Amino acid sequence: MKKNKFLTGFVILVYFFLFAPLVIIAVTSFGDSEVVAFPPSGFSLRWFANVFNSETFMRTLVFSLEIAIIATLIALIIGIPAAYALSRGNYKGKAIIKSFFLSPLIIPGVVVGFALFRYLTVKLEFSIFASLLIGHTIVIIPYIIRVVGSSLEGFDYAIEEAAMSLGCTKLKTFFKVVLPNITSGVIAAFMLAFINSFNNVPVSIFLTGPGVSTLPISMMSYVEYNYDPTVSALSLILMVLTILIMFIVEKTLGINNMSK
Amino acid sequence: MGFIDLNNISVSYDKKINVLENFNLSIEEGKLVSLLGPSGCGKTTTLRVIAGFIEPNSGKLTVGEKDFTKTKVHKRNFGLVFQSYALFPHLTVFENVAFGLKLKKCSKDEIKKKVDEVLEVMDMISFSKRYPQDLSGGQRQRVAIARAIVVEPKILLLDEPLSNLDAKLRLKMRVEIRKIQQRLGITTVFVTHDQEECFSISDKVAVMNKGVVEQYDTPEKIYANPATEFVARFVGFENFIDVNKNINGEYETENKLTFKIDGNSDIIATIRPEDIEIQKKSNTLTENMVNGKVEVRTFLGKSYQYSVKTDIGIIIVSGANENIYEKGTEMTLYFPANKIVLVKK
Amino acid sequence: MKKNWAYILLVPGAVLLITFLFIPLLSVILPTFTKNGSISFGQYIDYFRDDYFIKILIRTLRVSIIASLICMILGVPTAYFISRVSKKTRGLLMVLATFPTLTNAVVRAFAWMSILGKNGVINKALIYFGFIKEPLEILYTEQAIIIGTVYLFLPMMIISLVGVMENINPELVQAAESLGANKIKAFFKVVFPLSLPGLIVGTVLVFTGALTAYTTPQLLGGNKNTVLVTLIYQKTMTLGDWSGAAVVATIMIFITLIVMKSINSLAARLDRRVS
Repeated sequence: MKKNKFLTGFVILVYFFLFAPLVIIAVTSFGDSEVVAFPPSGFSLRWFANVFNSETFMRTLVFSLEIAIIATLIALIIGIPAAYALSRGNYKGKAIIKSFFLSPLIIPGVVVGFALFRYLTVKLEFSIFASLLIGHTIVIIPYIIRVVGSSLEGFDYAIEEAAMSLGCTKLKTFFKVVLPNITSGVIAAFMLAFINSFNNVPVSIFLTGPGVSTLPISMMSYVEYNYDPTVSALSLILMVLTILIMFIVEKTLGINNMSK
Repeated sequence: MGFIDLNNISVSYDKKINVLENFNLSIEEGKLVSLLGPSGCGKTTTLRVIAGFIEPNSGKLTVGEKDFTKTKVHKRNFGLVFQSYALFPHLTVFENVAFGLKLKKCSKDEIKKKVDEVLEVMDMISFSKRYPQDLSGGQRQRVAIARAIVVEPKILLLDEPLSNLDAKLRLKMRVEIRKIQQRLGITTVFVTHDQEECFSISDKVAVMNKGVVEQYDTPEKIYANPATEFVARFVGFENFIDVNKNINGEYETENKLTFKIDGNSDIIATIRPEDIEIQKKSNTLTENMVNGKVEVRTFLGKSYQYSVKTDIGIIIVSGANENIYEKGTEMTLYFPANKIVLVKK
Repeated sequence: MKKNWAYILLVPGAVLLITFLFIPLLSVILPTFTKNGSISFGQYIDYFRDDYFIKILIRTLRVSIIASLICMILGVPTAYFISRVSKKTRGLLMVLATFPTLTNAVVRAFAWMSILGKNGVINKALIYFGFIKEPLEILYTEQAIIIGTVYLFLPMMIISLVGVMENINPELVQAAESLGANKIKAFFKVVFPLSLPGLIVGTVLVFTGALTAYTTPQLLGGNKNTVLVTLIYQKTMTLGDWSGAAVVATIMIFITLIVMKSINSLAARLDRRVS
C-alpha cells in the first residue's frame, strides 16, 4: 500500500513535469505585459491579434500546410504500396529492403537537411519549394510504412484470395478489398506524417531561404530576438489545433492508435 | 476446526455483486481437497483468498490455527502453482526453483542441495540450465511444482494446473501430483473444472456453484448420491424427471408413471444414461417402466447413446456396442429403483 | 508472379530514396574521405586533433547520456505504474504522454525558455520565497539543454517501456510474491529484468534523438554551448565551411550507427532469454 502511494505521487509529478510548461505558455499568451511573464499581469488578447496580423506568420503557416499536405500525399502514394509489398511478399532480402525504407529514421534530420541543401539547393539549383517538398517526403515515408505496415500485420489475406476466386484482378482487389480494410491505419499514418512534416525543424532549417520559410522556422527566428508573448499565442493556437486533430482521429479510430 | 479454515468469508468486486458470501470451508490436515465447478462459481476466488491476493470484505482465514486473513502474500509461505505456470522467463530452471530459497537467504550450498533434490524428484534434473521457453508444457508444469514445494510451504495451492496440457499428459500429471502430495503429506487445495480429474485424486471435493458449496464430500459419495440437481448434472446425470409425492408415499410423474423410491423433500428424480436398462418393447408395463422410440443415435466410442422419445420426455440412454438400435426402434426402458437418485432442485 | 508485383510496388519508393537521399548523402560524405585529392582520413584526423571540436563532441555525448539516464529514472516507474492500471486509465495516460510529442519542438523549447529565463517562473519563485537575491543563470547553460532534451524524449521512453511491461504476465509477480518477495523485490527481480528490451529500445531512441536534435540546443543552449548539431548548422550557414560540416555530419552518422548497432545486439542477446 505504501509503495503505491509513493509511486502514484511520483507519476503525478512526472505528468506535471510534462504538462506544466505547456500550460504555462498557454496562460502567458493572455498576459498584458510586453514580456512573457508568469504569472501574467493583466489580460489582453492582442498577442493573438499580433499572430493573425503578422504577415510572416500567416504566410509561413500557409506554406507549412501546403508542404505538409502535398508531402504527406506523395508519401502515402509511395508508402502504402511499399508497405503492402513489404508485408505481403516472402522474397529474398525483404528484411534488408525494409531497413532501407526505414533508414531515414536513422539518419539525423540535420544531416538529411544538410545533404539535400548541398545537393538540391546548391548543386542542382532546385527551388526552395521543391527541395523542402522532397526533404519532407523522405523524412515522413518511414512513418507511413510503419503505421500502415502494422495495420497490415493483422490482415487476413484470405479475403484477397476470396475476392480473386470471385473474379477480381489483383489490382481491383487491392482497391476494393485491401484498402477499405486498412482505412484506419491510413488515416492514422496520414495524421502522424502530416504532424511530423508540419513540425519539422532540422530538415527545414537548411532548406528554407529568405522570404520562403515554414512556420516552425519563422517562429524560431522570432523567438531568438523577441521576448513578447506572440509566440505564446501562436503556440496555444497550434496546441488547440493538435488537440482537435487528435480528437478527430480518436473518434474515428479509437485511442489505442495514438500511441503507435 | 480443520487445518485450513475459511470462516464466513465474503468477497465482492464492487459494492453490489458478492462473489462469495458467508463462505465456509474446512480442510483437514494432509488432505487433497478439490474445488470443482464451472467458471464463475467462485473457486478461483476462494483459492486467491487463501493465497492472499484477495482480501475478503469480512470473515476469517486460519491455517494451522494461525489467523492469516490480513497477512501479506509474501509472508504466508503458501506454495502456489498457476495455470500458466508463471515460470520466470529470464531465469534458468535451476534459478527459477532457487528463487524462493534465495529470498530466504539460504547458503549457496544449501540451495544447490535442495534444488537438485527436488529436481531429481520431479525428473527435471537434466534440464537445470535450460530456460522455460525451451521446455514443453509438461516439463514447465513439473518445474512450477518443484519451485513451489522446495521452500517447504505450509500448504499447496494449485489453480487449474493441468488445463493447458493435452489429454494424455493430464492423466499422467494428475497422478504425479497426487503422489507428491501424499509423500509430503502436505495439505493441498486443487481448483479445477474437470470432474473426472478431481474425482480421481481428491480426498474430498467441494462442488461449487455461484459462490456456494453445494456439496462437500468424498468423490465416491458425490458420484453415487449427488445432493442437488446442479451437482448431479455436473457428475454426469442426465434425464431429469419432475416427480410429486402421491398418497401412497410413492413418487410419481405427471402422467402417473410411478417410481417406487424413498425420499422426502421438494425434489427431482434423475438417473444416469448407463443405468437405464433397455428391454424389448412390451405393452404390459410394471412399475418404473416406460415405452419409447429411438430418435437419434450417437457413437461415443465406448458405447452408443440414444435419445429416446417417451411420455415423460426425451430420455438419454446408453447402450453397449453389441446391440445397435436403429432410429425409429420402439423399446421399453426400465429404471431400477436403486439407481434413481432424488436431488434438490 | 507475386514476386514481380512486390518489386514493382517498391520501385517508386526506392527510386525516391536513392535519388534524393542516398546519392546526396554520398555526394556529401565521400569527399570527406579525401585530402588534397587522394583518399585519406586526413580531415577526420584534423578534427579529432582540434580541441574545440573534441570539447563539443564530449559535450554532445555528455548531454545525450545524462538526458538518457534521467529519462530512464523518470520513465521506468512511470511506465510500471501505467502498465498496472485499468485499460481505460492506461489509454488515457498514454494519450496524455503522447500529446507533448505532437507539439512543435519550437513550442516546447520556447516553454522552457520562459520557465528558465532570468524573468522566468523558476527564478521568480526562488526570489519570491527568498531563496536567492539575484536571478540564477539557468537558461543558456548545458543544464538547460539537458532539461529541454529530457522534456522532448521522456514520452518516447515511457511509451517504449509501457509496451513491454504490458506484456509481462502479472502472474509472474504473484508467483514471486508467493515465494516470499515483497512488492519492491518482485519489481527488481522480475519486472525490471523483463522490461530491459523496452528500456533498451527507449534508450536508443532517447540517446540518438538527443544526439541529433536541433531546436532544443539552439534555443536553450545559446551560442556558448554548441553541440554537434548546432556546429553543423554554424559551419554551413554562418561560416560557409561546407567540407567541415560534412565531416561533422559523417561523424554524427557513425556515432548513431555504432550506438544503435551495439545497443541492438545487446537487446538481441537479452531477447533470446526473454521472448
